[in-house]
Amino acid sequence: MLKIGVLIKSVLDTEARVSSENGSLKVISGKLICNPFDEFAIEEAVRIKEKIGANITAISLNSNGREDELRYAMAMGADTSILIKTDKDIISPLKKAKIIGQVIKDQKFDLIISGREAIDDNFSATSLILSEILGYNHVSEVIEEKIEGNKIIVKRILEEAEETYEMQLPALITVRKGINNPRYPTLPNVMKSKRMPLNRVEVKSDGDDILVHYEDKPQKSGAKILDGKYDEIADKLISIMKNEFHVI
Amino acid sequence: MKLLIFAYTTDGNIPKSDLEIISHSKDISQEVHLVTNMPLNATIKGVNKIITPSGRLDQDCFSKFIEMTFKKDDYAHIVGKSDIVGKEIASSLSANLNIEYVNEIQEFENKDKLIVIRDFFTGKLSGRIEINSKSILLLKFNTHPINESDTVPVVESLEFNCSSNKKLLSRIITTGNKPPLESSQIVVSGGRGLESKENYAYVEKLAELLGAATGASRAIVDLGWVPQTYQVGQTGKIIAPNLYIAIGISGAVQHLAGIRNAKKIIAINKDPNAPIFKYADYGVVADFKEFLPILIKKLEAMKK
Repeated sequence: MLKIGVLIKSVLDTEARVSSENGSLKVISGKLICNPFDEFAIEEAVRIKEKIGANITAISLNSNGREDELRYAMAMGADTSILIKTDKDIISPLKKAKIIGQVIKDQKFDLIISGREAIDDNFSATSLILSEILGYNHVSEVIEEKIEGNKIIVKRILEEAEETYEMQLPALITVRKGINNPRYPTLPNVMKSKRMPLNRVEVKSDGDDILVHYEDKPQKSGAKILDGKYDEIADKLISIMKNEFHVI
Repeated sequence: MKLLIFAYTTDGNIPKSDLEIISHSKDISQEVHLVTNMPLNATIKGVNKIITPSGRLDQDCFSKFIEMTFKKDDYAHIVGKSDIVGKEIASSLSANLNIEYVNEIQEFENKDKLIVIRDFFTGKLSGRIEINSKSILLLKFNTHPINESDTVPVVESLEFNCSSNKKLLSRIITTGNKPPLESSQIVVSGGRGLESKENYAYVEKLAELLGAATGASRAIVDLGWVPQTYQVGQTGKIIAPNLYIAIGISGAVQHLAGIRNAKKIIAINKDPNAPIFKYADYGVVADFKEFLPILIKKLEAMKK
């Protein structure tokens, strides 16, 4: 049977408020959620399972030991999960990919799926680096996929073009919005997921190789509302675009 | 410090966005070499050396070609453009060369040490990262001017044999004659305030007159008024145009996440309390159906 790995990340939600304190990250308010793009990845894996049969393993790496997103993935349809707990927070995609690669290299996944990027650091790199470490073929930004025997055909969207590739499994794909509509897990499945297998692996990381000094960004003060008749406002707007913004 | 810049081309021409990367790289380096995936149609001024394969390489083979080139000389870093293809190539290089990789870089700072500046949390915070070892650095484009240069490079063409595991079945250009959202100087977007799918025509008309790309809020993508590729925001595209014009967009946090780096924002909305006005530079409180025809007419008159 096809073996699928899904990489998921717990991230701060979009509404979260963050600031910097002496260069460190300070979370003012917000909650951890499953990275929105990773929900598309889980859903796609579950659809493959429903169509042709597959065993799905959800994999997540963090330093706080949080397992909620793995439980969520199992409630959506993953069969088992692996939590890789590091001793420190890691930002370096190379470092994370090496750690994940070390843990999952013997799993022999036919297909690994992840979201196109995480909404916290916006790197879109860890899964692609992992793919290369494992020696898998990979295509990112996938909007459509079809498995045919030991091949996968994928359609992906670039900034200016749409490409269709055929590649041999094992392979890794990152998926984008539009590939599917993720399901909401049913209550019985949520209950069941709490008793499903979750393997914990603890990893010593000897620190991060990418150190970030955070800084706040200047706040916007609010729009200047243009007044007058529509005819006058239109003239003002054209003048602003021409003389102030220099874009026309 | 010697830099190796990579640029991927499908037709032998180096895109303007890559010229910007070259120009920006020269702020921190005296010697820059350009490596491409196929012979170029014309030389590129401003670099000291151009290294090309004798034939055309696909993305996977190009990555191996860059790897070989990097190992042959004493380059400090590999530099490239932070687009989808650039990120795929950089990820492969990071794994195979075992060196760190940072993308979406907005600024270089080079005093005693090299520091790169990029956003985190989709633009909520800025982050400074000190680069202490050989790294791959991908720069955002459409953010810096291109400085002209008289430097004429030497060109080195190398035989390179490589076979790829991926088969490209088709490639369709999707932008047509419209500028792509990601690199357009001006973007005009519409939201649910447009009231109907048909009214998106106002957005398109205004965009056409301004030479702008067209975008949309998630709401009208989900309603099926426009394709998902139009979506600007957290789960859509994150853009940094010089001017963003939001029509009938209320300004949800998810949408703002996509436009935090827009240099200027003009919002047109009939609700004076719409959150978008907090983030815009100029606001027009108006019914777009009455206001836009006037604006469009004036712009048309200007064109003639």
